[in-house]
Amino acid sequence: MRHELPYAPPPPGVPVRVAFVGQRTYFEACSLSAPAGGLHPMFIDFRGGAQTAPMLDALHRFDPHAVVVFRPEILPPGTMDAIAAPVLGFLTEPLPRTVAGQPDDTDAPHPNLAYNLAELAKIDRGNVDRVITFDPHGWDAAAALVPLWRAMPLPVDDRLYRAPRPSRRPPRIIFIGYSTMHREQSLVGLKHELDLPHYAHALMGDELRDVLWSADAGLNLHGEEWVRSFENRVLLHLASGALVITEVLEPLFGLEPGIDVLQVSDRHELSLRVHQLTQMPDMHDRIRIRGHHKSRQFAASKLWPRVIGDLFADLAAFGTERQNLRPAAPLAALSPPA
Amino acid sequence: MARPATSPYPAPPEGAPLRLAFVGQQTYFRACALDEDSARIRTAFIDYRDGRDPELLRARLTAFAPHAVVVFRPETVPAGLLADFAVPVLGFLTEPISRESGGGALHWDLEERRRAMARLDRANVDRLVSFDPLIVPTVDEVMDVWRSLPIPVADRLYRPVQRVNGTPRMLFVGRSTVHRERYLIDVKHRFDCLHVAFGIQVEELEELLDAHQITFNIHNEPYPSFENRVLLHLAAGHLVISEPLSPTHGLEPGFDFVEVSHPEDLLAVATEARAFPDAFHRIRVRGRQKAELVRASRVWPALMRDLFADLHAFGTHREVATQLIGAAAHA
Repeated sequence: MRHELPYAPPPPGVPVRVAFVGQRTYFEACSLSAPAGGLHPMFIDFRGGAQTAPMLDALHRFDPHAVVVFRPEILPPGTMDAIAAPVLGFLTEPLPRTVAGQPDDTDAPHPNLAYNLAELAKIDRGNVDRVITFDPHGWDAAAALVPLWRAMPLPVDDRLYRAPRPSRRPPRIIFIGYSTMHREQSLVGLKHELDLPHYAHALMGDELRDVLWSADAGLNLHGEEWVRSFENRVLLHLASGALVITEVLEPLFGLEPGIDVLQVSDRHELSLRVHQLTQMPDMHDRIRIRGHHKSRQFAASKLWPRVIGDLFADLAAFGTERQNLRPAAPLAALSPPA
Repeated sequence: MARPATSPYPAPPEGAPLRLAFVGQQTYFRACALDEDSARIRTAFIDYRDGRDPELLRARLTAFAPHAVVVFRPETVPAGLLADFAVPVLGFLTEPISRESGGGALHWDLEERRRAMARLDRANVDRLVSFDPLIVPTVDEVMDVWRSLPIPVADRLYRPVQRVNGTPRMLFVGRSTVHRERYLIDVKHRFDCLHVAFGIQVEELEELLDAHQITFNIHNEPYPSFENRVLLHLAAGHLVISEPLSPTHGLEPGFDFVEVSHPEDLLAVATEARAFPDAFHRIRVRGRQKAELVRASRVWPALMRDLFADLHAFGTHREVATQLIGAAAHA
């Protein structure tokens, strides 16, 4: 590991410019939208298959002290060579799991997890200094491919937080997430009985905030029935003051079923809980309040300053593997002529 | 049909507004109904869907005391529920079903809907309107279809066509199916096309229509149809990019909307429309003009006038009307 850093830490007292790079649809809500804790943030949209030049140009103009890349595996090899700042990758997709160092008890991982792992295998390690994964259960799978550093849930942008309010009657219960067979099987009855709104894609920005704030309860369903995970919509709903009714979460990240979230084992229990809530909208108000309280520890303004601070400290202590960093001058050549 | 000696149902008193009740699943059909409280007509929308408490529907209808009732998806009303409800009932068929009465390779989804339609109880409705003229032979096996016309669009959803400032935004409102995802997946991920799969009410729909300029119409499954979202978005002044429509209900591909036949075509047109929205402005204007033909405040009053006239001229098969005529004659 290379111990002398190729980039200088920000001078003391100067706001630390942090660029968040990722598909806005999904990750803007996990980034920092306003200065907090000494960070000065900027979100730059980038998605798999897109041209890198606009993103790199935006980075150059912003001249960040640090870069956070959601799903760093979508960056083409060498993309970050011209970025003379620490790059923190954030893995957001579930991976095949191991139990106590042994492969999971199934012969082969679920195809979705295997696909995610295959996608991650395309990563250029030279694009990142450190990597965080949202799922500690996928640690072993990820650590073989990236300089894995930590596991933590995706933070929640502070602008989405709102204290729980008294529920409407009947309560507005929503689902945000793309459609899968498992989700549709779980939701179809509820949709038609209760006009349950389903936002399948690209809900973001003010529209996301408005929809979250309009909801009294949010549902969380895994993409596949037997693939447990911890979807970031759980914290989004808790942050916005909604009751979360969820399938079994793994990991829990400190959330306590029955205290912070209402956990259900299958679609039949989901239907029961939703109907109960419809009849008695305030029956789980304590859970809403507790869940919202717990979600505050994941606010972007709390997490990102600490993570970025730790990133600089860790890099100073242990260096980086990134080898191909070019000096800043070539980056300037990327920007169009004035 | 026997010609009655007199109108089977009482018309509204002279000078009084027609009280018109719409019955259906509000998620889908409030956007198609008339919402008016004027000297000519007074409307109410009563939410009802398959499996809901039928007595509650009946009680709400009784409380409103309509002169006429429109039921969207009349096949969902339990047999006999409206048999003794002594006002004209117009059933509006809104679901695509098999277009052939038998034989051939029929799509499972259309067959399922055909079986659901076959539950229709003739005693509940006086006349049937079908959104699709091509399903009439199939429906006629259950009950004769009176008319075919596209589902109207509520006046509140009409907007003038506005020039696009900045990058146009894309919207798809409709449930997710494999066929639709195959068409939409690329525009979703390249252009952040908002996909609202279910459950928005007309108020929220209005806000979405205001904030978006380009939309798509993809059939449920790979079979031809005419979805009401086409006219709904045209009414809102949107550019509609659609799979081929059948029937077209007078819409002209290339003039009123852009027709695509393959996911790659859809992506190509969407890319172009996003980059050069002004190039498609004329199509939006033309489509918006054509949408005036289905404005709820035009279609529903005319349809009610014709319904009363038709019932007066040709009567009805419903027993309750016969009893009304008999009682009137006896009096």
